[in-house]
Amino acid sequence: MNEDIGARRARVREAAAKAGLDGLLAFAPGWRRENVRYLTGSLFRGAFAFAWLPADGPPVAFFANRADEQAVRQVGWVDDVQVVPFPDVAQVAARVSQDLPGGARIGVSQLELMPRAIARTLGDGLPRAELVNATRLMDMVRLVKSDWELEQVRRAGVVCAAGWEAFVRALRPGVREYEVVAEVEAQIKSLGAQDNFMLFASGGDEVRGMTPPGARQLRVGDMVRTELTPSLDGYYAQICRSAVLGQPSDGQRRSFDLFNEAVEAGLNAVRAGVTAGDVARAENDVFRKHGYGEYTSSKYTRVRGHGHGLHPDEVPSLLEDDETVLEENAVIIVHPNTYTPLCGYHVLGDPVVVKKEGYEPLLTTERILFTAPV
Amino acid sequence: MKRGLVVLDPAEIPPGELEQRTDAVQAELRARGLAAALVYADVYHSGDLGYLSNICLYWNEALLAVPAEGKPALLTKLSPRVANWWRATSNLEDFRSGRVLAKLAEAFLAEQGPGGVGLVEMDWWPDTLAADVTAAAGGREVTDLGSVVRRRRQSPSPSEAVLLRRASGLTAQAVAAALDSQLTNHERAGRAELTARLGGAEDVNVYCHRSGDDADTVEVVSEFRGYWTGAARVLASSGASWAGSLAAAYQAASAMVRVGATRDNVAAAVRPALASSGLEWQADLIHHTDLETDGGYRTAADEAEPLPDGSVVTLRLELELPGGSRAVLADTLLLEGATGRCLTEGLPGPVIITDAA
Repeated sequence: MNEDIGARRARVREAAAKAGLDGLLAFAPGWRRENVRYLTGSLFRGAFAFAWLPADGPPVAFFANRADEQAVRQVGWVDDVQVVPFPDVAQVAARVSQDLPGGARIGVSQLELMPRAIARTLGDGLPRAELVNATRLMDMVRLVKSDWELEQVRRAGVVCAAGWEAFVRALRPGVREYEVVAEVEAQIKSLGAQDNFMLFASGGDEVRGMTPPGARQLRVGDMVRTELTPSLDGYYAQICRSAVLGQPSDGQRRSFDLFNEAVEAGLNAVRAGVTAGDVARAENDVFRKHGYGEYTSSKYTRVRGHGHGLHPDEVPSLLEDDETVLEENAVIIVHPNTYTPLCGYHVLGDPVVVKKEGYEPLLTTERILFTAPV
Repeated sequence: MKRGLVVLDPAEIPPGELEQRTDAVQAELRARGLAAALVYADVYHSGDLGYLSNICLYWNEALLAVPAEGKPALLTKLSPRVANWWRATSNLEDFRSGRVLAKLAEAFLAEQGPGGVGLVEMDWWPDTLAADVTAAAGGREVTDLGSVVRRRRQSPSPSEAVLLRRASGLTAQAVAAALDSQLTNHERAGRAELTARLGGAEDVNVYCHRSGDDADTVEVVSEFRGYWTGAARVLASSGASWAGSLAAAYQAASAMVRVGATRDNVAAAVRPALASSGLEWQADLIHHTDLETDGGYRTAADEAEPLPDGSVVTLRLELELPGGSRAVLADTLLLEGATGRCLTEGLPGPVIITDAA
């Protein structure tokens, strides 16, 4: 992991220099911590945080409480770690100013989410600096994973697969949706996961999308869908699967065949140098071939897959108009999740590492239409 | 992240109560001559949105647009395919989806009568969004409405008080389920999650970790029907030399939690018990309305405010141990006059000695 420190800083500095920035200030609101994690190597809990990486010189990190400060010191990637109160981040501005005494262009990731009260004190303390949104810059820096990062995603993938097994075990007529999720959460947390992004849907062809679970009781014949995305030490891995209580209907089988063919087509398109759009197009072409092209539009689906790493939904989005080039060691999930009249919303997808000539699968979970006995 | 049970049960929130909450905001708008209020929410921080509508914002960002007259609308970046679920779990009917919240706000405001626009908790809004909405407000004056919703949330209604007691009870059950000295911390986390989520928790944060060489902490902060409560206990062997001091300090802190108490009062009570330990510590009183962010969005002024009658707060005492680990004790209490009644009741401890004879 220590090799990563220097490599990450180099990647950020190279990207910042190309963008004409004099440094990178990563901001982390409570729900988007990935860039500060990337620079500090640490999990943290507070409502906000900063990590400053100047073009030259050591990084500095700022946290909302002592527990986070201590946690980052323990990891040891950053020596200068400070606590700042909400919302007065004058200390952050002062420290940045030490490295950039004149006017400067400072890239700020997640600037678009910075609370007004924090932004005001930051701006007041950097009156001659130009603050430039660097969210996309950092998204692209994080796109390519180091060998160590890939190992963390693989570990998260193991937990992910175990979570899916717990999901199938929990399925039975009469169980409530939230009870199934409870079993999955218990399993993945007992294996060390710290967080999870999970959506759920149960029922027949009336299902149009997934949400948090409700109190609905499962019935024989239901298709039960989930996308399950545990994080282990900050790194996320996602699986998308659907299962049927009892014997699948003809519609459910045909739907699975369609989605599986689309996943295969998408995966077969994956290799370094193609675009996210190429992969999405390969998936959607399968739907179009079978007369379901209508259901690849935004009326029925959000994306045909996406990246993940320190955030469960990273760039690129797999959409036909996304021209992000997939680089070797990017991590994406190919998932043509959408609604069709065959059986309603269906989810199926696997995460993979992009390789020069193809991909490396991250999960060993079978890609089948799972069934639960009744 | 939010992946627990979301329901709107008229047996829990009486019909009309959600609407009354919005009515109060609308009365404020009319009194101020404002045409509408906008309430910002993101997945991390959505208590005001939930209070007014029971909406669970399980991802991304949204604005609740409340007109001075008429029904509110949810302006969201999430797909319109979610609307049916939201209709079933909230009191809203008007859902508008789009990639740019400011554009959705612009269209909403264009439908309203004359008057300015109030942004609730404007200091917490993303600065760029506040600027974009101001620019899109069609020349209307934009006003910071501050904590107009959070202040009301701090005085729970009778139905809310019941839900807060249930929420606290569930948090306590989750901690209790994990207090097994034979388990690893990961296994404890699994037990706590299972208990909380089977009990209907909407969101659960479990922190089970080593506390020095001789102890472990089990801390649960959970959301039940939109209400956040916390509890924590320490499992320690007799080798944890600081355990007695920590327990004594926590008892002293608990005794200070009453109407009118402040964080400084609690700290003053803790100080003597921990003075001889040589260890750093933090004591906190976090109102339930601030617990979703661990109290991280409070200003110094917020923290210094005396607690009013009827408040539900989490008392939290954190001890820093050599090596950088921490031991945490916490409970959720209801402030009733001269006492704070523990709502996360039934837990042993506060420090449980696992090898006591």
